[in-house]
Amino acid sequence: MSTQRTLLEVRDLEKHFSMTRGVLKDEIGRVKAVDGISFEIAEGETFGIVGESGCGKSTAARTILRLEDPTDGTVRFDGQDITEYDSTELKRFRREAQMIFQDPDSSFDPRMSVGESLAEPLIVHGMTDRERRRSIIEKLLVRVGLQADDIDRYPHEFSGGQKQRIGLARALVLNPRLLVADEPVSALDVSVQAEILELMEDLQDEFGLSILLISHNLGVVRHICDRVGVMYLGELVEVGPTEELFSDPEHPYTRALISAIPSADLSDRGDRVRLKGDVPDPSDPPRGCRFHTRCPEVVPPEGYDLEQRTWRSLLDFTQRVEEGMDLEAVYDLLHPEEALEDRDVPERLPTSDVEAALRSEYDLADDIGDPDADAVFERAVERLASGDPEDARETLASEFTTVCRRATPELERVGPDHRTACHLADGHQQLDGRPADTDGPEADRLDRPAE
Amino acid sequence: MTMTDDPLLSIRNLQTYFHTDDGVVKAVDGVSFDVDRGETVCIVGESGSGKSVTSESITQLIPIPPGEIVGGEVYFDGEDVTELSTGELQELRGGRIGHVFQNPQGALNPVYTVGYQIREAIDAHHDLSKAEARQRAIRLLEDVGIPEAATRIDDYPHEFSGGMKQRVVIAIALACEPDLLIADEPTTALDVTIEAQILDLLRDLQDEYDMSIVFITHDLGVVAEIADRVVVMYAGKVMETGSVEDIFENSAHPYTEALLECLPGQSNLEPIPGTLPSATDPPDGCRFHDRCEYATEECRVGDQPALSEIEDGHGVSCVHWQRGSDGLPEPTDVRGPVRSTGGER
Repeated sequence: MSTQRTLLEVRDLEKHFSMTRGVLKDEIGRVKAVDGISFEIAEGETFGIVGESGCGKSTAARTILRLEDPTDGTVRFDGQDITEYDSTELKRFRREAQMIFQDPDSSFDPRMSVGESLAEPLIVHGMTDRERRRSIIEKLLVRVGLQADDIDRYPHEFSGGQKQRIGLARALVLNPRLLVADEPVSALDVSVQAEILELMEDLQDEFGLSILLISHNLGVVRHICDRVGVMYLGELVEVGPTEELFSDPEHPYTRALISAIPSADLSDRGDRVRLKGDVPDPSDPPRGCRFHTRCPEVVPPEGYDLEQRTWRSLLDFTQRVEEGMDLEAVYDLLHPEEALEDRDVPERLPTSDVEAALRSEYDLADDIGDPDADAVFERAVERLASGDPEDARETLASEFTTVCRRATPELERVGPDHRTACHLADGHQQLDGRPADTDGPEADRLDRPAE
Repeated sequence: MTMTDDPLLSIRNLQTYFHTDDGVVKAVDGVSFDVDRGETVCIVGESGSGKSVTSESITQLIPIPPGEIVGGEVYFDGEDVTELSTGELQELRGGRIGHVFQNPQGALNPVYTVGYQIREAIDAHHDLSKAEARQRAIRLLEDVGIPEAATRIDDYPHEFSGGMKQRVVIAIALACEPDLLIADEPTTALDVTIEAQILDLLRDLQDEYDMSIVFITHDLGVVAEIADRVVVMYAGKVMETGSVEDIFENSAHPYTEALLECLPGQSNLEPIPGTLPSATDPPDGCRFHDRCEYATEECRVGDQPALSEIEDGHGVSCVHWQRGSDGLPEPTDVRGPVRSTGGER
């Protein structure tokens, strides 16, 4: 980071949503949308948060602007804690921190002209001089690449890219210091995305803005961000300077996201890291490393000699049994044609049939390469087939175990300004589950106060 | 299906116009291309280029009126489908030609289970017993990669994630084992990670079902992943067509080059200046000329240049095609205001 002053400082930010039931609103669970993230943005810096749908990145943005009240943690803007702001201070903050949204179609009132939409923030913040408002807006429209006489047009007269330009103009009309852009280009054509990104970069230089950019596409972030945080299930799993993150990604999730960027290079066609499945339920995140249920590089258990692919399949099976694979679910696999209502599940099923069905479901060869692992698998299958899923679960859980499930990795420093939360970053050494003891234990963790 | 070398789909000089209050919108204005059996053809272009209308004209999904296919032929397996009756077209849609759209949320009915909706597609074209149809629906869900299909079949759409919903929509499109799958921006509403999964899936299914795919997208990055051949469209016209190698390694049209340069994720990003020309009153000459840095006087007069064949199967609609990229006229700076007059569409 440069010597520039920190404008925004987020510490251990949490935002949980209660899930309630019934008229009495008993809490039955909590969605941990944002679960302890920390980062800071310097003046004039662009910071990107990247992750899939459901990882909490938009909630983080909304909480940082206090559109949601945080459950815990602090957000300091220019040194002051925004969670303590009273209504006057909050109003001033709302002038200094602006937001643009993903969908330019729904972010304007179709019955208001562009001029009226852009004048609203000025009126709210006390600019009563009509002529002055008009001249500010006209200048700004020209600045974002439109024309001064567009001020009297209506939103439907503009294309998506043009509307996003108007969105930028509206965000800048109060001369803010922080701009939060939530997926500003993902609803636009690729050709228009480049335009908007370039414009944002120009405006940042001109207005000295700090930008927080939220996107699911690392390719978009690469262009304009100085630093990037990769978010998964409410947590930051890697934070670092953009180019370093691209050239030397430390977390398997970052590697997968980079690999997923569509590129015009024909040579890497079909030859990419693929993530299976979706982001898990944030109300019940996986134990240990939250990414381990989808990670293509899970640390294998000690004492077994397995290929990563086979190990991944065995772990998927283990997870499925833990979630509760009972005799009925196994029966479904064997007899897919029977409708729910006319099922008649016997007390036990033929072990060999169950084994064949499970091997095919989990893509396991007849010989998985390690006789010990095979024996564990077969024992679990036998217990499942005889209607004892509990025993199958215990067998699998005690044998197929990994540090990625046992221990939660902490954000550790892997470069001067580059941190990641992954057991692999410890060099495969930390199989006992304790966090790595690198250069200075607690001192280098992210959650210490800013330097 | 007759096994021949003839293309499965052959579109000849297709013209689809929309009669609007502002005048006639020539959304598709003389488009021709072929789709061979087992081949994936990508139609790529910006919003408003006419790529979706082209694909919707094949089975006449466009609203008629105001839309109208005013000229050209669409041969599907040797038969001109623009001549078919409504009943015959309905037999074709969802039968030998399957459709997948951009937004899976809107393509599924929230009040029926996904199993019911897949069976509905099967029943429309086949006469199977309830149990047989159910078994087939489960196999389809397995084919599109939904784990534990036998249990999931009784779930409702809201119980699936966006990527999983799109898999269900693909399963419905595959219900009658189509010869041609038309996929209009099927991954645009999805995260990049899920997009990659769906592209892999379509590739696998193409082999398994031995079908041709027409894939519509605005993203050349997606094209590079999935296309065998590419049709680049702009303002209702074909600018360039060729194999995926022709387009990415040997592109000849300045518009294709401009599209390649604005792909996010690469180190230098170069937006295309300006916007699409007016749809009701397109400019003379090449429709790309006022955004093209190589445009000369010749480019501004007459009609869109005819497709010149550079190599076998690689055609380009550009006055300057013969000069090669080195011999093009000096680029001029065409950057001005984003738009000179009026709003786009």
